[in-house]
Amino acid sequence: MRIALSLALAALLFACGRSETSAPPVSAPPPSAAPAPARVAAIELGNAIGSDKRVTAAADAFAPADTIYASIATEGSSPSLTLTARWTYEDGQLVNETSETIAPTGPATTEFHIAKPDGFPPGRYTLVITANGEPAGTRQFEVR
Amino acid sequence: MGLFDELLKSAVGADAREPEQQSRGLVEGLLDLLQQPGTGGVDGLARSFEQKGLGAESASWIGTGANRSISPGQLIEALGASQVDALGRRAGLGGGSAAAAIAAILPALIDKLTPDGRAPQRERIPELGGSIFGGGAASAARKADFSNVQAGSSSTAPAPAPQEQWYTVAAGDSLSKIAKRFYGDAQQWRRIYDANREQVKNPDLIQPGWRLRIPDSAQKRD
Repeated sequence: MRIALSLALAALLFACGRSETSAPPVSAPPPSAAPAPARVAAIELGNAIGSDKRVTAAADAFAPADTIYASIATEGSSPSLTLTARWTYEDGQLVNETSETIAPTGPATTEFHIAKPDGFPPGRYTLVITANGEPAGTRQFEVR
Repeated sequence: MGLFDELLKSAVGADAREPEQQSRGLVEGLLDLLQQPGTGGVDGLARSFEQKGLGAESASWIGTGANRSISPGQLIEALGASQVDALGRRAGLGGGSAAAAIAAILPALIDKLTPDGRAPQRERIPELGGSIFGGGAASAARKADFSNVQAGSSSTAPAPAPQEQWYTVAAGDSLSKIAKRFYGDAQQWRRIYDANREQVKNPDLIQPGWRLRIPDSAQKRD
């Protein structure tokens, strides 16, 4: 009887030991965790971009002959995220509207740019960025 | 944006190192905040103030009468300290100065956004915000021509996977007709033919009821 009890106890301890060693580390993310949905993290304007699509120097004032870039940093992932850049002049005139549909799987940068061969008229401009139709940010800048 | 510069300077004094840029940063931040679905536009912001016992103040900014002022503390109570800090960082202003500056600027901004005494729809805020920055200086005589603007975009993120479509052949259809329908170009019938070779042995002979795969139609419409 004593032997049987010892064996049973040993088996129980062994089982406990196994379950402890095979348990996943506490810090491991649960396998079912959904990736963070994509969102706009930052909007920057400049007159040049690098190969990473980020503006090389942020600015909010431009020369008429500049190409004006907007770098949109996004975070998270999405099978389909449509970013739209709507550029308007101070009197409300539409300068341009362009969309770019992406499928980010992590941090990404999307650039929009506008240029005008005969130069942008001086004045205040507004850029509105939407993500899947929802407002994601507004920037004002000046051409002078 | 002289009004907002002046409000900023009177609210924060020496902290207004670059009042034009700082007030612009705050106004941009507040316009962004108003457009967020969680804020709910001018109406939603006014409700937040109302819930903190500041309904008369926010109503005065929307209405056509004089704007009632709020203290920096009341502003923090209504917007939350983290929101005020975030707005302040955008303008290079610390916590105390940020609250003071926003408390001074917000009533005037809401007033400008509600010229007829009514809160605008959230979708109209960018347009109204643009007119604030324009300062009313634009004139019809200066109507600009943007018809030759060149624009583009690109991204470090991949493009979405092409959306595959299916089409069930109807009586009278031909591959050319289907190509015209999906691509706007009848000459692209071969793309549909190539994608359905197993079923379509003769491109001139398709049967009503067949389900045909239409490859990558979204991209080819460009």
